[in-house]
Amino acid sequence: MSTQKLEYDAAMGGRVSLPSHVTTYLYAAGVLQEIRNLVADCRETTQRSSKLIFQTLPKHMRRRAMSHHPKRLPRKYRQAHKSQMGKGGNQPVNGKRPSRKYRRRPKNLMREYVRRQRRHVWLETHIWHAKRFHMVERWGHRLAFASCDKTYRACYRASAEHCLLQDISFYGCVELRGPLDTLRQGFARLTSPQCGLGVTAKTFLTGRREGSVELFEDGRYPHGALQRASFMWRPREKEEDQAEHTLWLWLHPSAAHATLKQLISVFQLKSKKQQKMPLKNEVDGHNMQVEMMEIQPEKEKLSKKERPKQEKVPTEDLGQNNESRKDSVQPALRFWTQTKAFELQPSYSNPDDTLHLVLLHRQFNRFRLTGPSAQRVLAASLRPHQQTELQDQANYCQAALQQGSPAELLSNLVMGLQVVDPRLQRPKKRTKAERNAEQTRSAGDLLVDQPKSLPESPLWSTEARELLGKGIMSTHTYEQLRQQHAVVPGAPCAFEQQMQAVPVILIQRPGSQDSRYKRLAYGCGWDVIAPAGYGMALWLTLTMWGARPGGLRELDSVAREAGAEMHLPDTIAGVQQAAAAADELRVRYFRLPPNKRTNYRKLAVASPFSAPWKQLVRDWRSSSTSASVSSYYVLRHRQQLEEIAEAIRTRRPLPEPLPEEALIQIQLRMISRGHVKNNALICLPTAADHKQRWRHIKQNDQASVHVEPAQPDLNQQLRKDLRQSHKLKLKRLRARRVREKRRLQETATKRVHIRPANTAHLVRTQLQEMCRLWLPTDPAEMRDSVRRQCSRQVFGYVSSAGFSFTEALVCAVGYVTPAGLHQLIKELPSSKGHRKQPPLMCLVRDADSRDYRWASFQINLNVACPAF
Amino acid sequence: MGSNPPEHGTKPRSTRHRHNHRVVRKQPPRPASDRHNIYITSKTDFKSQQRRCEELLNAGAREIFLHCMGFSVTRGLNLALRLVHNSEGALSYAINTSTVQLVDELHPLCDDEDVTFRQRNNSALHIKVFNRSLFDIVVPQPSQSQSQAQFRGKPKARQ
Repeated sequence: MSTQKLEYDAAMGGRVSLPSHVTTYLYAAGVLQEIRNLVADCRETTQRSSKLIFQTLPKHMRRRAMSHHPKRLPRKYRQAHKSQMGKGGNQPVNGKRPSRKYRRRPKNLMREYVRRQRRHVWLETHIWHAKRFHMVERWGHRLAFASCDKTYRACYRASAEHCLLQDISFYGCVELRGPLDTLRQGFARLTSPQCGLGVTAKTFLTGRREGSVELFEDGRYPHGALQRASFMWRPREKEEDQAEHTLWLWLHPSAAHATLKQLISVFQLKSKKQQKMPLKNEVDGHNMQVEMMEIQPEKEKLSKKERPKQEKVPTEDLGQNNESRKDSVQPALRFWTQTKAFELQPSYSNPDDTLHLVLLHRQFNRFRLTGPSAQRVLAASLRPHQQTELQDQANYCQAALQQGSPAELLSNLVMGLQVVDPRLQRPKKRTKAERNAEQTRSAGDLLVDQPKSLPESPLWSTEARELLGKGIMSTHTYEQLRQQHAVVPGAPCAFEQQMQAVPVILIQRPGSQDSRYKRLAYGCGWDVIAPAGYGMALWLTLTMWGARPGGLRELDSVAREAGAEMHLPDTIAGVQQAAAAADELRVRYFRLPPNKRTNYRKLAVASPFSAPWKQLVRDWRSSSTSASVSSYYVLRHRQQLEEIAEAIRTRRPLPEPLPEEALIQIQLRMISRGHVKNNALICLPTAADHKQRWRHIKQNDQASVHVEPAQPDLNQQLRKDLRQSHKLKLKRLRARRVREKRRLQETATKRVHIRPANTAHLVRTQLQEMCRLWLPTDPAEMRDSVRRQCSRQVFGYVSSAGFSFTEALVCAVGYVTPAGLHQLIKELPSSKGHRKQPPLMCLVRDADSRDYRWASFQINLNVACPAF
Repeated sequence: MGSNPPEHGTKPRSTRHRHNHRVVRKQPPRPASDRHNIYITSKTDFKSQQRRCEELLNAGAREIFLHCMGFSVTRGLNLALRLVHNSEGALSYAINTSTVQLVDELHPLCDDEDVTFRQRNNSALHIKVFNRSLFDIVVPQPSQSQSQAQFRGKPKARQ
């Protein structure tokens, strides 16, 4: 930097001599003064708000009509002036929107895009989505929620029969590099072997398969769940070399920060943003207060000149220093601090520099293709590059993509592939990719043996990624070249052979694996990881081959169809999502007019907008010792879950001791009629309900099994009184103001206006009070307020529900307490004979309904590793 | 209980691998996937499958293939017989038997093991149900409005 731009200084023969070092205390003193000035300036403009900007200017800089015409102000004050004038209710200073022509100029458009990306991260396909999808702000990103068209059912069909395409590039990639033992020990603290396979399991370590783990806060298992993260290991050329292993963790953005903090603390990482480095030309190290900054390493003479100015360095050291520079034996090391102002990829390393963590921000695009037809779409849009050296990899990929469904291959298989630029693989019109009939290898053959080099991909190396990023041909250049070279429209051109190969990684997702609950392989598909910059090109190619684009809503709906949840309610994302949903529901509830609001007090629903897991667990706890502080977690212990499932199957009491703070995930299906929504109550049936059920079956009656008797609403009269008194009070205040005005008018010569009401705070407190009276009392205040809120005991809540197209039934995912399950089994009527037991049943009631209906349920064993 | 319970009608599985593995079944391969190849499952409603076949045959399909495997073989046979019976002599059938090779994945439950595989065979049946009319009567193509009344989707172009 400094070598390019020469200064006219002492080295060039000028008078100015640049110091080689800066004394820190002098520097600090200067900075202190600067900060003082800054603070004073801030005070000047913000605290003493009685003055306007132009009033703070010195006399000689003031101009006439400054307040009206902002251009008379110095430029640096204009922005502040504008905002001040805008706030005061005056006419906006510059209210005119620039013309459309101006706004659409490429330069201005790009500037606008950059400005809008400052608040939320945009994905590469953002603009494409923003034109077609409802966009929402989630997790620091601006993401597509659902298509503006009505595509709910179409997206289901795509996921079941065709191909659904989603952009999930918001998952952040973290690279961990280091010795295997360190990684294993570190992750042992963050995960638990009870949930399933760990990060360093043998089946994942070769890089052949992608795995997923549940991450917890350090040593707090089973509490403190962070998120579920998928990971993949870098395949290694030689098995035996003990060099470092590389791991990619794909973190969900909602909990990425918390997870990163845990990783940093567990592996004792330090950021490389600020580093202490040994000073190259070591100077004497007696006084450590003087920190040196090296400006130009070759300026030895200069530093010698400067030295006498620093007081504390004795002159005799200088001579020593000059001689000892060559051999550099005795003086203690001196350090300088290197601070990087901006790191594109923040990196961390541990103290002995063996383990490295790099955040690979915006280095990849990750597209999710769901559905059996994903095969055909991928086969059509990814053509292997001819000059690739890994020919067996390409052959295997092609054979694998010829199969009828992704589920026929090894589950979570990772395939690397070098493909030609996806822009070359587009059909002229949007067409459905067809399956070509010939199959080279049988599915069983492909399943059992893969070539060793299958998962290898240049995407793993930083240099290759950088080269890729530089070598991308922009769409503009591509189109221009085509204009020049393509004689026949649509025919391939010669220059297209020279376009660089694009490495992609394909990851198989197996879909449903429990054929008794859900049809096999629902939700199977591929994840495609493409390098940055190719997002839009690949996306368009995939959609042109008939993939149906979906948004965030489809992530949830596919998960619900598969009988699982994206975010468990004890993870960070789950808690956030529940809170957001509760807020939204509450706001919506109070937007309704009072006669359209469901009166939850009459329905005996304690918590209508969110599921009160904490209070549920508190109420079902047998020992009332630590009742005050309760926490909950979702049971992921596979063996325990299997034992409980076995106990339910044989109708025996659950194995003791019951995990008291646990919630068990269950998959519910409504038996006959009725619809449930989120936050429905899961209740215990009584003996009378069982009898009623038989009666209903006999009479072929579809009515609800039990109807909650309407509770009296004690607050109704209170609300009425409060409303009356409030209105009366406002009226009285107004009358007083009118009287006051009249009195003043009698004596005044001019017209007197009525005083402003200033009753905002009154109205606000009234609204708060009214909301409090409308809603049921907070379940945290009273014991047993959740368990015994209605005429049936509540032992669980539904967390996501809806009509399931795969089952043609209303299906739901809920969580119940083990103690409640225990009681349910205990109270079952004794069955006759040893016939096959039907699934267990419970009562379900929607939060805004009085009808209890039957639902059968089963326990989800694969909580920790869902297969969708 | 480390694995899925066996299907109906299969013999009880040996308990040798029970505690080391989780058995994951793979989707069996399909020879063809168009409208004339129907795969019989034990979950789909019998009536609806019958209606689907009848609609196909009434729309002028010469032959349809019913593929069934394992437990659903009886359902497939029932369906074929019902179709033939209901057609009053217009339809006939031919049966091929085969064996489908299936590979199950055995997923490990502890960190030190890798995925292993288990090969097994299952019997399968391919039933061809075809129009037995002696003369190849050319059925006039139904008009656009009629065909749309019959199908929900777009009628497929047939060669």
